[in-house]
Amino acid sequence: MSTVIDARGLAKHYGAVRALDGTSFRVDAGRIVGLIGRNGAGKTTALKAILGLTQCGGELRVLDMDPRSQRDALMQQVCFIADTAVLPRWLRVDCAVDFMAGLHPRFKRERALEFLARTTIRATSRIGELSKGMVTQLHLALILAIDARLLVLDEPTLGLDLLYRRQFYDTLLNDYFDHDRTILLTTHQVEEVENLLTDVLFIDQGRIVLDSTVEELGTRFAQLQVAPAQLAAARALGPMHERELMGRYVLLFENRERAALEPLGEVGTPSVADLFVARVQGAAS
Amino acid sequence: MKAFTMLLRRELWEHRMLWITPALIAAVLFLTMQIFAGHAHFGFAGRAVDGDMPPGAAFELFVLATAVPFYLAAAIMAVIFLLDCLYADRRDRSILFWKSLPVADYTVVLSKLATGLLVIPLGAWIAATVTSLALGLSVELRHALGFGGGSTLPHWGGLPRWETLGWLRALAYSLYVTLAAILWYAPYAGYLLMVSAWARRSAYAWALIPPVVLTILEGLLFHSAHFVHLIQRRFDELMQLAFSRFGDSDMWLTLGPGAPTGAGGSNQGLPLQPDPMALLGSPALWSGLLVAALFVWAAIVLRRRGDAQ
Repeated sequence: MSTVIDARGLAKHYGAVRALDGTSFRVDAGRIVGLIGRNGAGKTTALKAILGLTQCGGELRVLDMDPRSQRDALMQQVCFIADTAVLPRWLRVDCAVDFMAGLHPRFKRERALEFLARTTIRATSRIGELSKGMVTQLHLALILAIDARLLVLDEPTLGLDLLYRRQFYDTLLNDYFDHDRTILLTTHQVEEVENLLTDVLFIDQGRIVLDSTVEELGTRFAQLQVAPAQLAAARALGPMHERELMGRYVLLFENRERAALEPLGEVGTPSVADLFVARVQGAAS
Repeated sequence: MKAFTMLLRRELWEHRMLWITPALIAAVLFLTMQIFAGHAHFGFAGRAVDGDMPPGAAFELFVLATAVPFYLAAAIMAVIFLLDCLYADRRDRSILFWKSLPVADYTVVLSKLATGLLVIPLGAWIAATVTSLALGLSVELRHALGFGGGSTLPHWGGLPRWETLGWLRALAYSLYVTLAAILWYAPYAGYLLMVSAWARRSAYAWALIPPVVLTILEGLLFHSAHFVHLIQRRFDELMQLAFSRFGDSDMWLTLGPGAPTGAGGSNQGLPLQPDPMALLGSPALWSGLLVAALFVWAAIVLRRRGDAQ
């Protein structure tokens, strides 16, 4: 399996704030990786470094290129959607397609038009006249028409309603993703992408606090729901996090045999969101 | 090259004023001349063009005069465009889209420079040329149809008659001035482009602050005003440098009252003498181009570093 992103000891600070603090991770081809963190955790800085938009310390290779010095060549293979606000409002839809076709050597016009035909977007509309959902559809159409190896998404569905969000990810999976392509995305709506991801990277204060495949999460982490009577016994097993939920206690364990937990209560696999909260709160305490 | 052409087209898509303005000026000029042709009195230095001035010179002067509004508009548009082009992308965050494309930052910056420094002024020249052709032909057409009392004068209704040689000479003069102005004013263009890549808020304010501060500092520290004079001289000197005898007070008098009328026939044109060797041999031109290159280089570096805030 080839490595798409190899980041070692990335460091970047804005004044006294360390946006990236020795951040290291690797992304392999054919994966859908969620980079998950709070506001200001360093997600966007990490993405910008990957896209060659910011200088940072450490070693970083993307598709075996240096994103800073080889950005123009890299961008032939990498697509990027920030949030919906970045398409220029004055640009007409048909001009946007012409522009991409004239500028991007790997852009397939027919594919973009085919995708746009499935939407209600008119070719003569200006982007400023489209709804936010339609702008995202257009951006997606432009991106899907590029034969790229890495797609970077930074909060791509911010401000979209549920239908558009669902449609966005469905299209991504059905029309874009295959085993040669890699997607790296950040989002606040972890629940919505949970089933999409193959890997998760939790980032907090510029450091990776969890790097795991989604498959591995199920064997590595367990969630135990106990009644107050069993709480002391459960705590004795060393949970990484606990919270109270309607009179019962939910405890998260790492690397703890399920057989040891099952006598105490109901055992399940924690959601990515629960794990994230546990990890970040655990790191904070 | 294909990408560069696309980037130029993109500027015309975004800044529609760049082609709407010349089209509008052409329309207004043409219609005004049609309406007022019978009453207009086109003259220069106290001499009416209709019969009182050498015909070649009259038509040349007419063609050059109709080009003036195009060039004034082009100068204003170029300043607005160059100052805004790299700043606007950051202001509306679309820079994240532009930067997601496989185009080098220097290509983008050079496409903006080419738009401001080549497309706009040469566009003005083309628009002025087409307009002068349309105006000249309309005068001929009206003359042929016998409007305006079937005048037998070589000029009709105050507007000079068509003079192919005069027209070509005027076009050559204006193209020469356009190209000379492009080279001569390149440092201003470079400066505006750099400010556009650098400004965090109002690009206009950012453009004014450095020269104003430098002028004040120089005045306070050295009680002199060399900097302001340098900028001003740069503004004024082009025509003197591009044409020999341009500044001489007697040059235009050859067309003024008391000067001999067009005895030399229609070939007698304006007393303009382009002097490209003087222009190209001027150290001021080349040092200006060097300064322009430094500003553009700074703009590229700033564009490369900059991102949406």
